Amino acid sequence: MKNIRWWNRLLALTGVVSLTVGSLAGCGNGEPDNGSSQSGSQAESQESSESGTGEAAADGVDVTDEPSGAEADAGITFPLAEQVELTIATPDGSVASLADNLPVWEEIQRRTNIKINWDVTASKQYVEVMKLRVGAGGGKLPDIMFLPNGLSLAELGSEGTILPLEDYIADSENIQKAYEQFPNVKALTSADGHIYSVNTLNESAYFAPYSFIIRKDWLDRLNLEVPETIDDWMTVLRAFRDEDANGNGDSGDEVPFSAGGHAWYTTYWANAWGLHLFQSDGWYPDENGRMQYEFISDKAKEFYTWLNAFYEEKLLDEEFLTLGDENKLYEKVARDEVGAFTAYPSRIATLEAALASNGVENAELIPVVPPQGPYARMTEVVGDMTVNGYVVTSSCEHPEVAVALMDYMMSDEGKELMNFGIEGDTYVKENDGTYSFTEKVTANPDGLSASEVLSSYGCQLGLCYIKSDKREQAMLFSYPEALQQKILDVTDATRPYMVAGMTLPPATEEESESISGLSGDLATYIWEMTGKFTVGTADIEAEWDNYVSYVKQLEVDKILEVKQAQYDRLTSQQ
Amino acid sequence: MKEIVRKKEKQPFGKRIRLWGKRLLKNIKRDKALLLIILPVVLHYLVFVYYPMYGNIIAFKKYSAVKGIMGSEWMGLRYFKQFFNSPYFTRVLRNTLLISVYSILWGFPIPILFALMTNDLKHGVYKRVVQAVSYIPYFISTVIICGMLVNFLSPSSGIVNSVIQALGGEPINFLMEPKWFRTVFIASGIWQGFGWSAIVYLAALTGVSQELYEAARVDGASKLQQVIHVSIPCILPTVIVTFIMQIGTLMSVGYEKIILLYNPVTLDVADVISSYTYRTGLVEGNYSFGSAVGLFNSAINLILVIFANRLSRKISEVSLW
Repeated sequence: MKNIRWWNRLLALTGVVSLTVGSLAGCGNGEPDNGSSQSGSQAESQESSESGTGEAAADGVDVTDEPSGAEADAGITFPLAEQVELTIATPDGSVASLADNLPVWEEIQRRTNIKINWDVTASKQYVEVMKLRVGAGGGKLPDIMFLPNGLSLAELGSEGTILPLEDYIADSENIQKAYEQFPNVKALTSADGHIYSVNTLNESAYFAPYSFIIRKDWLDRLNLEVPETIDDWMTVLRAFRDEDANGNGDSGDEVPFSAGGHAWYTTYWANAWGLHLFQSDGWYPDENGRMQYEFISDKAKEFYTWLNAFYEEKLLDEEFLTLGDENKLYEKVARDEVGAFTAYPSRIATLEAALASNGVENAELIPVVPPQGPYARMTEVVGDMTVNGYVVTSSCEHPEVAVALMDYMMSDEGKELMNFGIEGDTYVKENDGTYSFTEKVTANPDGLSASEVLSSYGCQLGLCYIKSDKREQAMLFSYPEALQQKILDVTDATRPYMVAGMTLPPATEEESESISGLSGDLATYIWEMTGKFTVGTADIEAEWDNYVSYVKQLEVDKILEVKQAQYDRLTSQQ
Repeated sequence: MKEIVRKKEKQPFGKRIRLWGKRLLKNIKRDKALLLIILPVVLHYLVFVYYPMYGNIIAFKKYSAVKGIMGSEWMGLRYFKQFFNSPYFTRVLRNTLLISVYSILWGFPIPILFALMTNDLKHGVYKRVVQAVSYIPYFISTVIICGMLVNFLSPSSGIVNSVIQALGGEPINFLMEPKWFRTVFIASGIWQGFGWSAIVYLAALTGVSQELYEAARVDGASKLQQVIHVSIPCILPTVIVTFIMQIGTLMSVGYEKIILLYNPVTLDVADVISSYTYRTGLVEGNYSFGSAVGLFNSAINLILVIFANRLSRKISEVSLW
């Protein structure tokens, strides 16, 4: 009898536990998404500048009232006479947690006499968690927070949840200096004339940008030149397809060109048709300054026709839509199956190492200068400014100190700390103004990579800063010497073809309301049709007019109107 | 007994309340262990099920993160209209229903058959092993299941296509063919869940009295006849209750697996209500829209359950309530 009771209790408890666990699991759904263009390009720009922060744009915007703050700001010198506490909410580092008093941040707190209370969330969950926290309203928000995707600056600003910063910024010497260097920051001024965020800026965006990567050893084995035009590319990839390019005796196991799981990756080729589909999502002004949706242009039709042939000829990986993500692509590359793909050149070292560990000798990957296409030779570059930045909330009692801290981050001192770590410990400053890392970074005893070591010091974490291209150069040490040269050469050769992607100022509340829900439906349709045109399940000639008229039906004109207004605001500032 | 009840009714109101309170206290004292055990369950429902229902009102408001639930502006049925007028409404509704109906059609009988078969396994250890192996897939996360599917079904290196090729067939790019999507989705779903769903039937089967089987055997019933005339009728109430519950999930095809498996080429057959809501509601931060769709789904599900319950009560006299 007793026995049975014991069992019943246990069963009941198990039931409770499993119910609770089930519901918890339900709450914590992550966000795997491969359905929308937005997420695609955002992930991209995040990668280009890590999980960054932001920097605000203040050039010469008329100062609205609240002069008291500005004055206070001008008077701030570090270290503060009296310690001030600030709470910062930000995505946490993956190597070490900011909450663990990382050296760089210890140093910053010592030099400024600001005590920072970290309110960190794992970077993957940050957006969801912060959105819910801000959404829940009430309660006290952190003083400074990294704006999660999906919250509108204009809305938060007009509600008074976040503070306008332009008055403080106007007197912030270092931020002002940075603005001169990065004209894109103009896009940070909201339609109401306020600047609400300071974003991380990236000097290295133009250093080794996203590009085509090709297997040089495959080219050599087949006696081929590095392709210069789209036609060259076709010739080279056909050879990869037909011949035994990887030299394993099987001429059928090579994938000429692969891409990582989203139709979006294939639009990198559209650069050669003069289209800005890849980084600007097709929203780009024509020569008269009228915004266009390039996905429905005649050039796009030609591009899709080419892409379809590209797929039909089996030059494009037949798994390009099902691979899941970039990592699956890299695994495939490491298995010695892929001839060419697109990636950041900084990826090459890891991939070559992976190939070597899989027993592929002398595998050599090289970045390729963008090819000459029917209409253009270019590559869109984005990411000299992060999409989102750091905002100061109305809970902050010392906004002037908060902005002064951001200003400090933009100073030469802050830049050194955030990019290189602690002088003498992680880096040495050479006489010629360049930097080099110490052995602790270059040959870490614990086997960490250079960027992991720096991240464990707190570099490039926590708040906005300027990502230095000197760091990129100092980082080249980690690559084999041949690769260093290749990256430098290709960067130089590519520079004339780099075109800045479009960064528009934030939409007003009214504007985003008028197009709410439209861009999602449009993106769904565009990627669906891009996939279908490529694979051939939709015939381009027969379907094109329907496609264009359906895009019109999805109210692309309404979205264009808003984009035009945003673009006009941008140009009127120049 | 009757005497006592009558006596109590004669008591004045105040006294009755006091007596009632006394009895309640006594009951609580007596059953405190049981009550303690049920408490977490009750709390769970209050906190995680009933309290969040209050949030449903954002389906009728223009939810602004800043203004909060109460402060947001009322919008009436705007988000419901937006959903019904969406160019994708008919497509996602059709896909959701098709996937659900097929899932039930193929997926519902299999656990029952499996339970009937395992129930007749005589060897104890073997039976337990079979059972354990059958429900292991249930514990693998959806993300991993989908990763495995992508690998197994790969046209170049997947095991499925290797077999097809070895048998002289042409490799099929399963995940890129719209006509294969539902098959892949539903078949893998069955594989994931049949062992787990069979547990409840197995439990029902162990409750069947051995005497019934003995009697059937005495009457000369074959193994199959025993199953048809003893096992099945005995677990029928369980089957019907499970079926009614399944009908109640007709409108809810989860988005995780869909999103992990679909791609632009299969969107035509793969995009369901939840994945559509995920894109427009969650990713774009349009929570009101998401809530409106969720509410719409729940309403339909509720109607379906009530309907199925009625039908079942009429036909078989077994019902949820």
